[in-house]
Amino acid sequence: MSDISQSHIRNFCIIAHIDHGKSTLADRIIEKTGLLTEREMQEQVLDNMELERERGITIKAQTVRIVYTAKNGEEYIFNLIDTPGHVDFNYEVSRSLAACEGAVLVVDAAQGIEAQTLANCYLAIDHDLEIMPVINKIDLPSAEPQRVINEIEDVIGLEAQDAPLISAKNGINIEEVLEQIVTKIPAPEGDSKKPLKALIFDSIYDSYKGVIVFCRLFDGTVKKGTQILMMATGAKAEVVEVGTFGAGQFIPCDELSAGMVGYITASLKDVSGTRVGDTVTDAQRPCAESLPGYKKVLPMVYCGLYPADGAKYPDLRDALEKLQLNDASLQYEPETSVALGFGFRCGFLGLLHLEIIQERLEREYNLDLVTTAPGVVYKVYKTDGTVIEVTNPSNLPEPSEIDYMEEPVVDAEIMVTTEYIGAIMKLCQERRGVYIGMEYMEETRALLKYVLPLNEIIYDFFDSLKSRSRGYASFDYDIKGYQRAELVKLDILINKEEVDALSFIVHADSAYERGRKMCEKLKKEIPRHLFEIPIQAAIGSKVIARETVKAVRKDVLAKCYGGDITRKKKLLEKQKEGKKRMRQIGNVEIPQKAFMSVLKLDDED
Amino acid sequence: MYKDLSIYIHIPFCVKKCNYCDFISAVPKEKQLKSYADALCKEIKLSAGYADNFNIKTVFIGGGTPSIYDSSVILCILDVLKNTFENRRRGSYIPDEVTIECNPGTLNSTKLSDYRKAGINRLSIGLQSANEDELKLLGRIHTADDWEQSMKIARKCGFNNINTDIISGLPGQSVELFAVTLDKVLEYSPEHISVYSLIIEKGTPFYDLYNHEKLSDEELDKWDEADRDIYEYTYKRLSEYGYNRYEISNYAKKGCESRHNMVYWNRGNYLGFGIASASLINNIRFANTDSFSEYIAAPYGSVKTKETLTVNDCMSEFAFLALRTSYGISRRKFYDEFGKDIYDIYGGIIKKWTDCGMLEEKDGRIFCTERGINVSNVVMADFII
Repeated sequence: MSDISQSHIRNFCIIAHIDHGKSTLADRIIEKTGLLTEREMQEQVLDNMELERERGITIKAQTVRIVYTAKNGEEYIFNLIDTPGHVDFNYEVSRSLAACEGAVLVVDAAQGIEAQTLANCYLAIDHDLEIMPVINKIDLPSAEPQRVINEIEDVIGLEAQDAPLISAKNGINIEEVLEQIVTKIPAPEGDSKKPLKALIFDSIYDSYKGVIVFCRLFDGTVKKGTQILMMATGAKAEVVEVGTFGAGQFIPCDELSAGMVGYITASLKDVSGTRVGDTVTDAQRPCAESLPGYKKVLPMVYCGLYPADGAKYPDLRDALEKLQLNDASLQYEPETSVALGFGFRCGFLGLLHLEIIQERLEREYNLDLVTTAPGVVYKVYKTDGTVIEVTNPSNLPEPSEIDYMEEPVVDAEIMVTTEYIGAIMKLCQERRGVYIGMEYMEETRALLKYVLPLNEIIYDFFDSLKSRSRGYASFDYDIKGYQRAELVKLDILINKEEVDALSFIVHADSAYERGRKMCEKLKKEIPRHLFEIPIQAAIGSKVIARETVKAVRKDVLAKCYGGDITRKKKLLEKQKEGKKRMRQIGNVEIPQKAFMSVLKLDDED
Repeated sequence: MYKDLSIYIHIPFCVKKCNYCDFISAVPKEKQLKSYADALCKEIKLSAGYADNFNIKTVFIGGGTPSIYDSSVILCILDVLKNTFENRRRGSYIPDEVTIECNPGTLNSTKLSDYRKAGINRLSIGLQSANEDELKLLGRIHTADDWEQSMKIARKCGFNNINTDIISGLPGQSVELFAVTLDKVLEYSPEHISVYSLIIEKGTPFYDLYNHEKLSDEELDKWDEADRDIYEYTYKRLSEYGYNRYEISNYAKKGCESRHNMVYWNRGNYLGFGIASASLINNIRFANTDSFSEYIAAPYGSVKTKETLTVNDCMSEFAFLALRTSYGISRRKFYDEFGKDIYDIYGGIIKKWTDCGMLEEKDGRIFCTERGINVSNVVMADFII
């Protein structure tokens, strides 16, 4: 197999809007090429994390090598690189695309082009990929393949008349897709005799093999014993093994050469040296210049993660360390909170990334976590002329020391059916959006463009978008930069004591509303104590909202039943158990839940 | 050396189930009365092994409504108990305190004289309320007058140690309304009065009417306030009449405290007979099945739950049970039992609660203050380790 020439390799990815059937098509391709029998096929082979399957999204790039015998009788090697399906992972997507010559664009025959279809498509065009449209879900009653074909031609400008009309779910017309991959997607070019030049598009940590680097070779060869150098991080190592990707397994081989996609293991202890987008070369014979496009991904969203049980701090640290082995974009550093004790301030690519990490920590590492309100990175211009970046509201300087502040903003594109334009524009306005423009895709659909502050979309913007458009709006964004804003730090005082973990930075105009909602929510979450507890929201020393948790008047068990002490003991144990899940702030015990509940303030709108 | 033992005998039958009650009791079906009494006797006989090590000090026949039985059945059960614990060895069988729970409306002078003859020396007669509307709301089968008649007959039959049960904190009850009941009870000066704050238990008709979802926070607050006002009033009023509150819900004239109840709070050994009855023997807690058919099929050996208490369990129980009593935790007794000063175990907690006025320490005993009693669950929960 290894002697198949470059002209018979096809490196491609599948791009689509969420739910348009990307992973299902990937599964069918794998199945059709006989890599797995149907019995071995689990639903969606490539989404192999439990979490990915549950959420129906791909979180990490997955890759599989398939052998396909085309109608012309010749064998081809397909390297299918499945890309993450969420805006949080745009950079990873772009690196995966850079490893390919072509992209299969899956469009839902009923829904047509959506925001991510466009975003991903432009990304693919940017990487000079050959784009091969495929119309999926043609067996749906509401399918309108011809309309969607026209839409692809009008909106994206791609030739689409011969796009395969398929149903990935029911395996209709998959051969046509495979044939077109052979005929339409170009073979890789590259010179195996030149110095090694390979693109890292992912890296994972395996407890047996250590770091496994997923790469695409553009030039040169790599084999066991090669001294490799990561050009951006400078990490060096000796190759232990190279190989290709089976379905869910690694298949070692002697050598990888130009045009191929495969993996390299080397004596690397953690993934920090093998960053996505970096170029791997031969340390003895390095290539002249690295591949373009590498950047260090910076976290956009920050929050504090604390173990519910303070004694689990070392466990949390170990878990984060292990997760970071697989996920270089996860950042963390220790911090302490008066309210929550020892924990970590963690940086994420976006809110989904945050949720995924949180869920993995809880499920895979069995940790109970308390999360503080997510925030973004603010730039604080101080009166002394210095500029600092603030990710934790507690670190915000005194107002007198602040000249002004800047917050990150995004370019947002929202695809929406015309009837909901009004509702969505209203939502964007509420979230301090600046209207940029609107394009009609066709009569019934438009693309709205806004500049939105990132801190307005990290909470629940996506949910609101969906509910206000009855699910018809789709959304994509790109970080635009920083912009000056009137921001204030809102503090929460419980029984007159400031609770650092509940402080957050908010736009001055929304501070009152937020403060009021926070107090109301906390009143519901904090159990009654033996004394009255005032809950206040304050900006500096000015209290802007207040609620009171009344004192318990009665909590006494009148009767024990004929010596049935066990029943009474159980009741007290339950009470005690409840207390364990509380955080002590001064004299007040605050349930863990209260810290989380304030993240969902807008749910009741 | 024999250890003291208390006996609890459970009678799970009532003429009618009350609206607030979630005890194991029901209206007996045909032949259940007989089969249950047989099963009880069987269980007692098969427990003869305990006689080797224990001496019965108190007996409590509770329910349900034990007085639902013909007095001959009660006599028979007590006879079996006597024979079981007497025959194994020489010595007399005379418990200090033998109580039976009765319901007004199920009592007459024949029954009460029979009880006397059987060695029963204490009666617990449930009144719950002297207000007819409240009795109806509670679903009681008797009137206040029935209770008065029962008291009179009981006195005539020579009972000089009688308890009366009252429920306080009924929905909408004011101090004034409650005072009517308390005054009626005081007319008959029972030696012992239990005043239980109403608890809304799941699975009762009261729960359907008054559960936490049905009532607003304001309504619940108001109810709790009224309940505590009544509690304070009860304490004050009964003190005037020479009753001592020796436990959260129990008041007695000097020397008339229920010895049987004190065994529960002091963690003495007790053995329960009958369906769902609970026992504590040498720091092992166990309880019989709550299924009637299971019990009838195998009355002895129907133990459903069994827990060997750890030292921590014992210390927790010691502390929170003692805190129910007005005497409180005896520092010396704690040391005698566990070989440790209570401050080594609970020092921080005792300080925390004495500092905020919920506990008090005096003369080597630690007890709940008036304020502490009202929220005693919160305080006690801290003693669970």
